[in-house]
Amino acid sequence: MPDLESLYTLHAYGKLSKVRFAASQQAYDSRITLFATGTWDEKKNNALTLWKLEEIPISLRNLVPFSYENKIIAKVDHKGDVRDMQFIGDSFLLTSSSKGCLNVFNCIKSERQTEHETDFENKSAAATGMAIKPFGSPDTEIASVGEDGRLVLFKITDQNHYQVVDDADASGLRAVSWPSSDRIITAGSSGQLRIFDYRNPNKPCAKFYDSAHPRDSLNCLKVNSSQVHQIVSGSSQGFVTIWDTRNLSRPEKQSHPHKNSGIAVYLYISLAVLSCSEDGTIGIMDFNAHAENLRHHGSLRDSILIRKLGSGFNNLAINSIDYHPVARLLIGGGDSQNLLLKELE
Amino acid sequence: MSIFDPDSKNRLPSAPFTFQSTLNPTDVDEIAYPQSTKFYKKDEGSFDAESYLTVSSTGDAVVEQNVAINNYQKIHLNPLFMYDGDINWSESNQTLGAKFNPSSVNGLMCYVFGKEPKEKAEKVGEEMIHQDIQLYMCSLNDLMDDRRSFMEATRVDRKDIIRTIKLSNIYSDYSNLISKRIRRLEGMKSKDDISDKIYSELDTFQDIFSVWELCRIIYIPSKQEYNQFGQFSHELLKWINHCFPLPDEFFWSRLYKLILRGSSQAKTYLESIIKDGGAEFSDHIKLVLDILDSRPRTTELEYHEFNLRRHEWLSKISDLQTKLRGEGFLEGKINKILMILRGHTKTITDECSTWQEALGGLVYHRRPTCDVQELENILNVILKEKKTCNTALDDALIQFIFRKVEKGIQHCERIDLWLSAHLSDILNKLDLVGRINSQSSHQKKKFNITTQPDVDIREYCLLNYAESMVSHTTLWQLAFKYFEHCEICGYSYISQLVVRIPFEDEYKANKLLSICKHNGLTLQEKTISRRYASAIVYFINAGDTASLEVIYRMFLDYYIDTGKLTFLDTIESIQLDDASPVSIKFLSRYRLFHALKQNGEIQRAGAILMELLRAQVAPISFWPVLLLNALPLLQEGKARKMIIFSTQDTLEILRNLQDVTSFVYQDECLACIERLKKWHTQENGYSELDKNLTALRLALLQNSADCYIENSSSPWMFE
Repeated sequence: MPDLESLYTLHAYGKLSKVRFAASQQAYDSRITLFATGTWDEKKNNALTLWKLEEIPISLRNLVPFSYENKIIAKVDHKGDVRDMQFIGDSFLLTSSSKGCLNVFNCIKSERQTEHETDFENKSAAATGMAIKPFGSPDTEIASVGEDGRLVLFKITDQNHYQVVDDADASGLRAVSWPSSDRIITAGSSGQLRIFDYRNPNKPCAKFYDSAHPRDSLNCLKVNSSQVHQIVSGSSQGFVTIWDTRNLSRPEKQSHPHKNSGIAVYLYISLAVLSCSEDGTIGIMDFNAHAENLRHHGSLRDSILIRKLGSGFNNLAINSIDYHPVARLLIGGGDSQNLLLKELE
Repeated sequence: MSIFDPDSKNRLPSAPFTFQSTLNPTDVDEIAYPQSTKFYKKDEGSFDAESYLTVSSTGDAVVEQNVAINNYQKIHLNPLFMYDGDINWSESNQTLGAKFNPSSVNGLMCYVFGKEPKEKAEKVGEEMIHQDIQLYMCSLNDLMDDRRSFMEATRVDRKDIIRTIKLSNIYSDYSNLISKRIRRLEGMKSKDDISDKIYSELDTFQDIFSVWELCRIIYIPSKQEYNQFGQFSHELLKWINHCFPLPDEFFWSRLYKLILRGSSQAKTYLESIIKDGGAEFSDHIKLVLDILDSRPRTTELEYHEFNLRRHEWLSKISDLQTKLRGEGFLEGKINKILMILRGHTKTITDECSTWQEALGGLVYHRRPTCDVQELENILNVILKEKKTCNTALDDALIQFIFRKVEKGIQHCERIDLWLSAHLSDILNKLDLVGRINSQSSHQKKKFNITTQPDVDIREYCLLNYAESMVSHTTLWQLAFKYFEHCEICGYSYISQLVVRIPFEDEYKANKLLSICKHNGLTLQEKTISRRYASAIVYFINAGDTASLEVIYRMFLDYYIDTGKLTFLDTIESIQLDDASPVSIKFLSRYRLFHALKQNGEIQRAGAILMELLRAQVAPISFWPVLLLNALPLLQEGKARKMIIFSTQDTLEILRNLQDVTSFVYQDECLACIERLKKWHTQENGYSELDKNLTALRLALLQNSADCYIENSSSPWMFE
């Protein structure tokens, strides 16, 4: 095993399947960051936990191993495994569950409590990913996919009306993203990416896949928020691929940071990508042009710069990562029942 | 079979069956004596011949032991098993049953079994279909849940780092975790809801801690300079004081023990004698206190200087003893203290209540500079005087002191599986634990067995520990991590057990698959996904052509029966390459054929059809369909005045047609045509079917005629 940059670990009370930072909020003290974690595969109750990270004043940092202090501020039971999680605005947390339903939790600010609000049961199989319509109108619209290969579109304020695309994919879907208001992209175990038009979602308007690795199922998707035609996907064979939706014939860039299944990707700072994997490591890749220039200088030929992070004692899977761009903080969670934290430069 | 003595009673931690019952044992109305031999194998789990399983009317599964009727564990089914009170169980021929999980004796499955009597089913006149009745998975070892974070934190993932970090660091990491757990348990003890479970867990962990610490003192090289003399006796005394605290006793015997244990509390005790009116003895006691204070310390002195000082100190004690002679009441008492300080063996062993105390006393007072090797001799002296209680802890400690590591670990297994696994792992890395013979040498001589392989203790313990986790709903991944560290049998354990982990959705299935991938297993599990596409992809990846064949036949049958092609959309989302199995490739090409035909590209469709015919992949029952597929192409071609099939192609089709309708395959062909007739009708736009496929023959003949005309009109024919 190569030398790994170490991560700060913290006991997380359960196998984590998802970690998410709350959107940075003006209302809170800027030194405080909130994030949520969700567990899976628990015997009785899976739990959703809301954490608070508080920056330790610089003068005291020498005394502690990590420059943030963390606290659990709320914990609620969650029906089924937590499969995906997304903060909506300031105070709502949307989760999808392996039982096939979506839940909305209200994180009440004053008491710092999480409260169960509503759930939408419209699935026959485990729900996996979900995406929120960007530039949304007041009633948030949500796209949700499941292992049954269905795509469901609905408004969060109106539980009775939803649109179901039955044959979105013949295989189970694992991730969905909504880069622009009329375009939805799904990915799943078939290895295909499918683009749906929001105005007419019944038939995919484009399908594409990585012809170099057919049947390599895709686990996750992420859209570059500044350039919505750029998508990153992570596959079961450990490939991280950047796609350009304007040119679907082949992947734009690809790297192979993990030997084992790559599980989640996060795109940060233009074309630098974070990925985590079943092998218990986090990879940081830089697909940027300046990195490509470096390649021509001999030693780095044919390889995209990959930095690996891992906690020395952990080689159980890391299931999810998230990055806080303001605090420059990376969190990860996995089957080792630990929360991993790292400040990136 | 266990490598350890199968006759040793109580080999496994006697899982304390401490669930409080809400029902009397008399409520149990059905007793199922286990038929499986598993119950009777002593080395398989915590059940022996004395245990049996009962299922009560409220749906509680109870494991009972005959030895003591109140010694049973009650598991409540969750959710409660509901059944209609009116149902007469004997009438419906049903009963509640229970079976052990094949992968672990700690798991139990409860279910309703038995079926309706046959006569009853006939009366209704149709097949009785029952809904699935709920299965209950119960775990007999509930203790685990509480221990999870401990087990998580102490897993062996340290193989690669072992070289860079000192083993002793890892060892003390474990120590810290154990004592943390003990502190936590003690915290729980002080709360109101004290359960026996917590007490027994606390006992277990205290035992674990004392074994762990003793082994650290004896076997693990210390972080400081090792050749520090006197370090060993100091550590040993510390260990005894920590792990075997002084019980409450009367004044004098407590004082003796405090002296024995080198405790500074002894001084306050002595001072209290002066305060409590013993003023007339104050001179003597002050002398004793002076002696206690002037005891030479190993840490402050060089070796030879220490010996000199100690010599002086000992003679000072004997001087005092002579001085005290005949001084009345206190003489005996103080003399005893001085005898202890001089390290008089008999006095020390007499005053101690346990052998551990005696060991500490002797080492501290008699041989303060001794090292590990001498400990055996000292223990031998003690064991002549003192009896040990035959607990697992005592046995283990004694064996470790005698440096019989293998035997010690066997006793550890009785304390807790965690201990035996982790201790043997670390000691193995120090080359202290090797292999033992699975048969005793006596047996070997008797049966002349020499080929029986030896057993690696470390691996045996690790496997045992890991196996206990396999059936746990959350910790199963850890179990596989442990298996990965077992070089000899780990692989086969993984391959056997990975297919027995239940999963509900793809997510968990993928986790299992990645375990297989990580261990290079050719994926054994037939992951039956609800969706065919996922299944096909899994099967392709697993190289399971047999299962693929089944799906492939299912698709073809579906087409023969209905004429619908919807299923083929499934194939669309699977990317194929050269290495893909033929059956799936066939389906993919066949789908392409229909798509082309639909789009009117009949020329290309014809080419693909010929390719499919020549490949000879389709099962014989599908041949008539393939051949019939040529018919619309021929008709379409005629209408458009195009030649779809060349003379050669036509002959090929005709030859196949002849084959299919010949008597060898006649039956299959007729059966197929019969099934086709359901939808292959004129109303649906198809031509009439007969058993010789006359319409097709006619079309083919016309086609060959057309070909001939076409060819003959070319100038080439005249040459």
